[in-house]
Amino acid sequence: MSSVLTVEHLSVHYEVPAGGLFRRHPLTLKAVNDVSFELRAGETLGIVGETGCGKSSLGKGVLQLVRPAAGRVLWEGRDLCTLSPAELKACRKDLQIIFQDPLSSLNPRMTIGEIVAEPLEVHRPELGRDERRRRVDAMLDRVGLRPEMQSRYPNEFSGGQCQRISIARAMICEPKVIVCDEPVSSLDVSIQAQICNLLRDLQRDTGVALLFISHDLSIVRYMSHRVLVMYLGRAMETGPRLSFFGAPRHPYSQALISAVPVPDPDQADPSRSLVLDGELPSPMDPPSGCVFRTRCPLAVPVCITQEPALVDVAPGHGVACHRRQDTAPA
Amino acid sequence: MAAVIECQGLNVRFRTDDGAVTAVSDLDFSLNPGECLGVVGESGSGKSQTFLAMFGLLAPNGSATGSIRYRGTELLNAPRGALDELRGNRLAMIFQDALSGLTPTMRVGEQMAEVLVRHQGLTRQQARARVIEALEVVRIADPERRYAAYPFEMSGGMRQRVMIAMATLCRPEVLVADEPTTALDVTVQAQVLRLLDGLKRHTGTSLVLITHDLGVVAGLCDRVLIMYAGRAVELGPVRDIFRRPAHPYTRALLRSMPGLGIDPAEDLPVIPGQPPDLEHLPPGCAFASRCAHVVETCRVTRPALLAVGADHARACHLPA
Amino acid sequence: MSAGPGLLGSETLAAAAGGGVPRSLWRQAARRFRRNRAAMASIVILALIALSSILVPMFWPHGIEDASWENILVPPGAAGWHWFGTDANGRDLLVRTFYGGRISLTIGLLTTVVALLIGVTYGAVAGFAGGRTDGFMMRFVDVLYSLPLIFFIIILVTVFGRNIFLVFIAIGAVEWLTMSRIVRGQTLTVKAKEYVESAVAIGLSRSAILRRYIIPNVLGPVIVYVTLLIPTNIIVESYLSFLGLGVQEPLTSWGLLISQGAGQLDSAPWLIFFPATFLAVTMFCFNFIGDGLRDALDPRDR
Repeated sequence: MSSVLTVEHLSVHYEVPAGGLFRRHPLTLKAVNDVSFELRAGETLGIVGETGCGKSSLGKGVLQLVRPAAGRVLWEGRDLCTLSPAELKACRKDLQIIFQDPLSSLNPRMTIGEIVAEPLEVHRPELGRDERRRRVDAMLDRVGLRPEMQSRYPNEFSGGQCQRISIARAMICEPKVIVCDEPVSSLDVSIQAQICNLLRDLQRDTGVALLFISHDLSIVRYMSHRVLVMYLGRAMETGPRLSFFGAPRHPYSQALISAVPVPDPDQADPSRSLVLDGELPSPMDPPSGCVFRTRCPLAVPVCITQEPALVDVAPGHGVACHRRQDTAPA
Repeated sequence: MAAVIECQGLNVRFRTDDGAVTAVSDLDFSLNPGECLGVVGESGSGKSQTFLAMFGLLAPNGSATGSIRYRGTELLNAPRGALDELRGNRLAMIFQDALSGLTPTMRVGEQMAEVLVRHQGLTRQQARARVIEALEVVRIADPERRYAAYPFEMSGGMRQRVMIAMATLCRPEVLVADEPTTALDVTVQAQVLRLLDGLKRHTGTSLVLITHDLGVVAGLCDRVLIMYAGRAVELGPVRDIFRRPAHPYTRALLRSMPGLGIDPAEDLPVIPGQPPDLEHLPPGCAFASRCAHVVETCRVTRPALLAVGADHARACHLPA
Repeated sequence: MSAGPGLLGSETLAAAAGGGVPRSLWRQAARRFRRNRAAMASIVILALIALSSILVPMFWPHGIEDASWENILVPPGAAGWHWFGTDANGRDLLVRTFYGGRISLTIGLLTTVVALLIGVTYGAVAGFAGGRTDGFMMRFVDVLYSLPLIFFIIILVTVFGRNIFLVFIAIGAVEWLTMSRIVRGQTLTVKAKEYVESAVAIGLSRSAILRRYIIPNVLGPVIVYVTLLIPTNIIVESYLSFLGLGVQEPLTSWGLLISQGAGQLDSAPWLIFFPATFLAVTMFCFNFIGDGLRDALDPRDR
């Protein structure tokens, strides 16, 4: 499979206004630091990590909703980071995003029909009103909403329905890539499954590639072909689903997976899961060397001085850990 | 063993612009000493409102009828004074959003000490010692220093642990935890769950865990109450709920969870449709419109919660 | 209502999406507003006051400048069509009160329109532009804020002489400051919403985002502020007139009438009673309407 989007050494920084009256220089928050990956056609890459790991910033950096501080995002032979706003606008037809909060990602003052038709107005102005309406009808039907709901407003729909509307808006121009930023996290369990299946169906039908950002490992496992684990803005581990979930090699990935509650009373035991001690360090002042070392059960002196590089331990399965030899399954 | 909490015929209603909304209807359950009861349901299932009613914390447009007794004392619509005696002392509650439970302008330790001074008549020094001990129990590093910290200086996980420490200061008999880990990351969730588990084992506190996540319930609870659209649909020991779920909703809910054990190559079975409108609940079973096994009776008559095994009951017309 | 977040939110509304008229937020707000009895009654009373301020001076047997030496300080009563009594010059108080209402309400409305136009444009541009532009524009507002209103008006009056239009300009020029701050704050809030980000992500132009996304969502609080700004401006005019800096004789306004009546509180209390009552009732009405609108438009209620 060919790659549709290649991200090389991407960094996203935010300037945080300095506290205090006389501090001249704003602090820099390095939300994403030197992350690389490629996204192939028809594939889902899951980006996993906890609050503040930079997974959302990564998604926004890729789409240039936040301009990256460094790195390249290669799309059809061009680097999105160097494009002018006008050139970028043309690319947006093929690069879409779905947000976490279904209600707040829809303009409350627009009807469903207007919301879903808007991308067509921008990118396909040559289509007539009737053709646009026909496509919106078809799209709404495709995501499981009745086309006669077009004249209604977002506040009349439940969270799950709003997320379907967001998906319809993202899909209407037949994009090549959709960044899904926690698309099911605020939904109820039974609705989560509906939305996940809808995304999988749409991917099968259209071959769209998904960058699926989530903190929920079980959903990422269900949705993704490959996985990238982030911690404090760095990539910790990346690999194909089977290889990663079958034998996670980074101590952080291992802790993440063992912390997922098991829905089985005979196997679940909170006292047995591998609990990480300590607190997440401030992203303004990350630890030297390996950023995970302050909470890592396997940390050794070299972890303090040297930042580990992502090294392949199996085909396509990379780990950024000095102790990768010791984390292999026995 | 006499139940600590006995709830009978509980109804919770809200007056809204669009008419009356029934959040909880005809709910019966009890909580035994030292057990952990999981209350599971999706948003709008009434799981939180049930316990807000018990603590007298319903929103101003809400009202509750029926009975919730704590060791024989009626809690519903009890006078404020009587309720204040029990709340925070014998009965404690923690919420999903730990920040809202802490006063932002007061040092964390002082807020906690306040509880002890008020309910147990301790002196400041005694209270301080107890608070630091409690912070140690919830594994907060350097509790002496954290005593003087303000809530905004703590992370979400730390605040939730502080809330648990605060709720357990007076060694309550009942602790209600409303989605205590929903806002937290998995690794922090694991810390908090381990803490609640330890609490239950070591202090004999009866625990109510309100959650939408069946995975959380499996590891911690002894019995589970499944709610749907304000009604109890199934109540039973945790093993029966997971091994022999008797209600179609419970079964569908278990199947639709993308746990780490499923085969990603196959599509998740989903529950089609949406939960019913609480303003216009159907006369029959609330789950009828989404149920795969629906029969005519389901749409007409509301099923009662009837026993299907030892301590295991469900509200369903279908043959067991 | 802050009640039951999960309860009164999506579920109840979701099912309603099955039939009936689409419920836009505006339509829902209008429905809530119509249920507010105090606000609806206030609208009726206000309409009556406004209408009679226009009509009564046209048809009343006395004019506002008709002085009558035989009828000085007549107490209220039916005699000689002096229902509200007369003042020290024998002028009819009823016609002067309604005429004053014309001036006061006009000033209230016009100054608010001035403040609205300047404030919304300025605030929306500052908020949407952000960064240095925003910083510069808002510091300028801060500087103007620090000038006391009275000081500003005394300068205007001494430079340009006394003129009713100066009063409009002076009040409008000061009150837009608050409006611009409100609009800027709202714009910043709306700009941070995910739906604006989604508009950027589909490649919508900046002007379309401002038009379709920012302004409609900023409007709610602005409308509420407008209904509260009108009475504020009426009061400002009143105390300017009270100090002799506002409306000049022979024109009159409620503020001017009150200031004149205050001098004769002992001998002719009706001179202050009637204009003050009208002013107070108008204030109450605007405030009730403002409260009603705020409750109806409150975003937390969505």
